[in-house]
Amino acid sequence: MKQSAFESIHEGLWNDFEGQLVKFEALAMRRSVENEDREQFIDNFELISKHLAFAKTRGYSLELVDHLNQLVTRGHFVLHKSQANPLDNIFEFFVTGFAREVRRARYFVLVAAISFLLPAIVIGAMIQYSPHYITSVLSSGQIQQFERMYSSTEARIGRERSGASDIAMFGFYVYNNTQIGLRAFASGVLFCLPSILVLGFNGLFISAIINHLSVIGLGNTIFSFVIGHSAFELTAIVLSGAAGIMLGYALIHPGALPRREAVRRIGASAAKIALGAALMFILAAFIEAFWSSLRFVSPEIKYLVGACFWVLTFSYFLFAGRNADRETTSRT
Amino acid sequence: MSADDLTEVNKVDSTLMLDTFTGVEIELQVAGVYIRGVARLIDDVIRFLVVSAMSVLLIPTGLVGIGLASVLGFFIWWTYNVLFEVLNNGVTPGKYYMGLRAVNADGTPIGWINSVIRSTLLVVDFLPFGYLIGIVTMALSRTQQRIGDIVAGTIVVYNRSRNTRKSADIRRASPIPDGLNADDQLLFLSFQERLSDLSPERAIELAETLEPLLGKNGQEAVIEVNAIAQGIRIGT
Repeated sequence: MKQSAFESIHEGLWNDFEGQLVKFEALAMRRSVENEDREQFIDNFELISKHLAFAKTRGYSLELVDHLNQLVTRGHFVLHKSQANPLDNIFEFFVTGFAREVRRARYFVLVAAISFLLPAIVIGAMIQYSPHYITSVLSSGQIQQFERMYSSTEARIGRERSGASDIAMFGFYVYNNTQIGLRAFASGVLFCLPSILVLGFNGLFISAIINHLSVIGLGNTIFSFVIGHSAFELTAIVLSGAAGIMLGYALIHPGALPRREAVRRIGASAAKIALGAALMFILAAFIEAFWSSLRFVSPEIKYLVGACFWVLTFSYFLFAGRNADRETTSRT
Repeated sequence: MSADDLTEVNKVDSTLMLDTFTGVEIELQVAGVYIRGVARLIDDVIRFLVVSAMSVLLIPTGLVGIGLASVLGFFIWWTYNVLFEVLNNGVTPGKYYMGLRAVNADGTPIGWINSVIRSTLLVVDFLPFGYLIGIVTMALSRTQQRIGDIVAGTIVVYNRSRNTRKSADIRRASPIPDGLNADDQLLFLSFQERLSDLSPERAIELAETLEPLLGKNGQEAVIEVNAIAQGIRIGT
């Protein structure tokens, strides 16, 4: 068939299809498309796919091939738009998905926890043995600043000046801590090392400050302050680092796969863990700003609440979605 | 240019061939470092301006304003790319201006997780400064992927949705000679595209290599090759 005849027969269909494309591309989700519209669209897509194949094999002009290629490419894109409601996925993710993802990555979490805890335990023991070791980690200016933050008689614990409001501190914690977590995740792709360093340094500094303050007699203040948000914040640091280590590990040890394929396959799991951790950071920031800092709540109540948070965190990661785990393993 | 030379050209071509479920192959044009860099710059400037403007407005309102500015600034900065990519068919404002679209490596729309991966890993591609790691990784990758693209399994392609067909001048077109395959036709087209850069002598020299096929010499050969290219472009 001559190209001009081919074009004059099908031009109408191509224009109709283009109109449908514009309509479907404007929709955020495919579910909002009427069913008969969809069927019509798929029929047209299949026809135009054939036209593209004809145009190529019959040696029709490059411009026509290019035009049909565009139509099929856009149709291919629109047809694969997600039909799922993202809110369903998000709900499922927080109820069980996040915990299951973390359990599946348990060895990475273990490595991350060790990277965080080992420097923390070593510096803690050193400071308890001889308090002057704090100067090997913090400058005297920083030490004085922390001592002021936790020894003052302000209405809020953990703040240097009374001016800082709860919501300003919440903003700072969200911005600062969550960002550290996201960076610990992303940078792990550089062969794990940055994630391990972030974990190690955080363990080192947090432990040094807490141990120093407890040595100089502020133990009750600092422990009752950190116990509330620590369950979420420390777990989130370790999980962010673990997600980063996953990416780096896939590059270091891709197994039978090409490196880019190995890192792509582990990427989704790692990102889910990092995302969950980011939300834990925000939760921790909320508790730290609005609960941990309250001075009129007695330390005993804070220890109790904090202990509950720890039990809650561990139970969630150990048990949430266990049944689903079993189903997946029995199927494979 | 021989057939072998053309194969060499294809090796550095930015065309990516993909299969669709109907069995027909589609071609996508992968975008390179420069054009993506400009798009990135536009997006980063927009992000920066929005966050700055919001801070300037909120911070003077007091401590609550500082808190709000930090939280909102944080969310805008980290979700800007993800929201646009997922809710706007892979097109951020920067990509829109440059005519680009981010898609999965199989040409399908990007989902939440993949968008989160490629957006978060921008901080790695940025290192040590000015997206250097990203630029180097793209240069080493046949599909022009930065690290975030590799981990997410995504590519950035030209987003052409305008019908440019039949814009060419039909009067100066000649029929396509029999037996020209697609590669041969491409040679005609690249000759036409480069014509304005060639000296007249060189253009004649090149066009005369087709004398056995066309039987024309000198300036006439150039005109004839050009006309055939025109015919290939618009279909005769």
